[in-house]
Formats: sequence, structure tokens, C-alpha cells
Amino acid sequence: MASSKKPGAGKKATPSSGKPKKPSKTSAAPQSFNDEVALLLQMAAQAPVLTFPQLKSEAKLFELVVLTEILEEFNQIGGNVFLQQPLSGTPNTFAGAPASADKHQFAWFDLRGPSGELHAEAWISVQFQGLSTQLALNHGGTSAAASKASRHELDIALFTPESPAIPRLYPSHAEVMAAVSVKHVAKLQKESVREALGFRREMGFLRRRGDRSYCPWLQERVPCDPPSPLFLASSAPNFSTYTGHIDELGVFTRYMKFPW
Amino acid sequence: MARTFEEMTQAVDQIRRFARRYDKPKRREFFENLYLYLSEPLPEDESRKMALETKYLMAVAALTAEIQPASAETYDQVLQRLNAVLLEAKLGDVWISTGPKGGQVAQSADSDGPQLSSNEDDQVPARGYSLRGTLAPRRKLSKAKQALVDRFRVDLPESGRPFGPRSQIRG
Repeated sequence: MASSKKPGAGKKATPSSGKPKKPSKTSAAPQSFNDEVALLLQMAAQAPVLTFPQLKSEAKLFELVVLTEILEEFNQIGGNVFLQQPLSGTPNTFAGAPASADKHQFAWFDLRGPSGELHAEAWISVQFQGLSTQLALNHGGTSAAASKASRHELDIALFTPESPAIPRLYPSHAEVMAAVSVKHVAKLQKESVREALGFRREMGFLRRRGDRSYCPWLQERVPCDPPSPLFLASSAPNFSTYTGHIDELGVFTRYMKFPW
Repeated sequence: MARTFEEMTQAVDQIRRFARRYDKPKRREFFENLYLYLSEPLPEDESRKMALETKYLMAVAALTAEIQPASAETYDQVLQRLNAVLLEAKLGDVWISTGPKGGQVAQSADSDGPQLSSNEDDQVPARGYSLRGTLAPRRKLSKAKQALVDRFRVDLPESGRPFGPRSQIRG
């Protein structure tokens, strides 16, 4: 027969053996913690909503944070980084949408070795011509193959230095030395991983054994030809589930706490 | 992270219930997404604890970023760090271009190689906006509220040197 008493009713909270109880890892969370979560929720619900331009700028700022981390790593190996201003445009300007590596309009960074030799150029939001374009041209495709549709924007990219004799706006996949797809999100969606795998496909062929990377100071070995590391950098703390398998294809995840 | 399994379970449950009840238009999409994510069942295997921790951290990251998103002050810190890396010329107030996407490479009839063309786009003056100017101002909180947000943000893992050299290829 079911008791009419509420569970626990009538029981006295008596010390059972006089032994102090160890705080259990599975014991209920203290009320103070629940109160703090409640307050956090209340504050989030009442905070002003960001406008679209503010959200966009926050994402762009995160790209600068990721770029800074990369440039700091280059400094760590004795390299020097030089800001290059646009040759004729507004100083300190970076592309806000998929663009070309137009040195007249946009700023970029030269990465030079200790003796001054130019290793790479670092750019923001530049599109490259994917491997598919090269294959199409190899198979008799016309220059239409190298159209806007065959280009892909890399949030951050290190390119081989431009040859003065051959000006370029859209570097080829072979000129990409390293690339980063940047996602400032609370939760990394699987579609971002699929997108990175698509970039990887357009950046070269898979090789079974990893070759020494174009940028060993960022990633020692890359199982691709050309061996250009591709990173998926995000502020989402749910990265752990994506490591340990996509790196076999040359996509490396990096978590960055942001905002600080 | 110092949170116990029970604390994280209760927090995730509490946040999920709050997100389900939230019905104002202001942040409906945000809380709907949060609710959907937190409602995904946890696995029954050994990855259960990690999955719970991921949910908890994601929720904390989302909530604290809503309360205090990156601001103009964050921008100043980023610019300072970036400039510390640069030799010689430093980066000034950053502009983000919303104008022409750059020139085109064209084959010029009287040259041997490709040339940068001056197409119609190039004639248009570049438009853009100041990155700092469009970021949200820093949201000031009372001492007690700031301490609360900071206590939760401490739970989020630090990233150290995310691009430090390492090889992830096995075998």
C-alpha cells in the first residue's frame, strides 16, 4: 500500500555514526551554486542584444587574435614580422569579405627570417584558387574554370612570397603555406568541420605518410601534398570530439578562449 | 575544472529549463539554440562525463559571452599584442573594407605576363568601417556581478599557445 507520507517526512536528520562524512563527488550541488547559475541566466537574458555589425566586428577581432597567435609563433623561432601597408589605399585596412590579395587596397604582413629572407605573406580574408581549378585546366578546361565560383576564402592564410615578375591576386592552392578557418562561436557545428574538410580537399592531395610541413613551427608534419597545414580555430569549447580523426586528413583543431 | 559531476548536471538542467521557458522575442533564438543543444541526450558509455562537461562549458561560454562580449577594450588589448610582434611600423586603427574586393589579373596584349588591371571596381573609393568603432562598449557590471561572471569564466579552459609546434600524425 502506498504511504500518504511524503518521501522523507517524519525522518529526523540524525548523525548516523558520528563519523564526519567525506564530501561526495556525486552529492547534490550546493544551493549557492544553483543561485549563481540562476543569476548568470538572469544577467544573460537582460543583457543588451548585439547588433549585426557588432557581431561581425567581434568575429573579425577574433580573426586578428588568431593571426596574432600565429605571428607570435613565428617570432618564437627567431622570425621577424613586418606590417605592409596598402600601396595606394587607406592604411591599416583589411578585407571584410572574400577578397583578393590586392596589395594596393589591403594591408598584409611579411614574415622574414633572421637574415631578412622573405618566408611568407600573411593575409586576412583572401580567396585562393582551389586544386579543382588546376585539375580542370590540366584536363583541357578553359580559363572559365578559374572563375569566382572556383575560389575559396581563407580567413587567415600564409602564402608563398609573390614573385615581382608575376603579380597575383588569387594565389593557387600550391602557394598556400598554411591556412586557418576561424569560427567565433559558442558551439562548433559539424558543418564547420565539413567546410574545413572541403578546404583541405581544395588545398591538395592526401598522402598516407605525413611530409614535413611548409610551416613546421605551426605543425610539424602534414599528410598532404603540398604539406600545408590547415587549422580550424574556434572559441567553442566543444573541440575535443573532433581531434584524433580529422587530423589524419590534415585538418588540425585549435581552441582559443575568447573573449578573454 | 573544479566542478563536480553533480554540479554540472544540475547546472545544465537548470539552464535547459530556463531556456525552454524563455519566451521573449529579444533572445528567443539564442535560448532556443541553447535548449536544443542541452536537450541532446548524454551517451550512456564512458564518454558521458566528458559530454556533460562539454555541454556545461558550452553553456557557460555562451552565457558569459552574452553578458560581456568582446568590446573596444578587448580590441585595444589585441592591437597591443599584435603590435608587440611587429618590427618597425605598427598597426594603427584597423579599418575593415566593405568596398571593392580588389583588382583582377588580366592578360595585357602588350606585355609578357599577367598584369593587375584597373577595372571598374578599382575606381570606386574603398568603403570601410573602424573595427574599434563598431565593437560594443565594455559592459560594466557591479563588483559582485563581475566576480560571478569571472568565477564562471574561470571554468573555461585556457588555450595557452594554441599554435605551438607539435605533430599530431601518429605512427
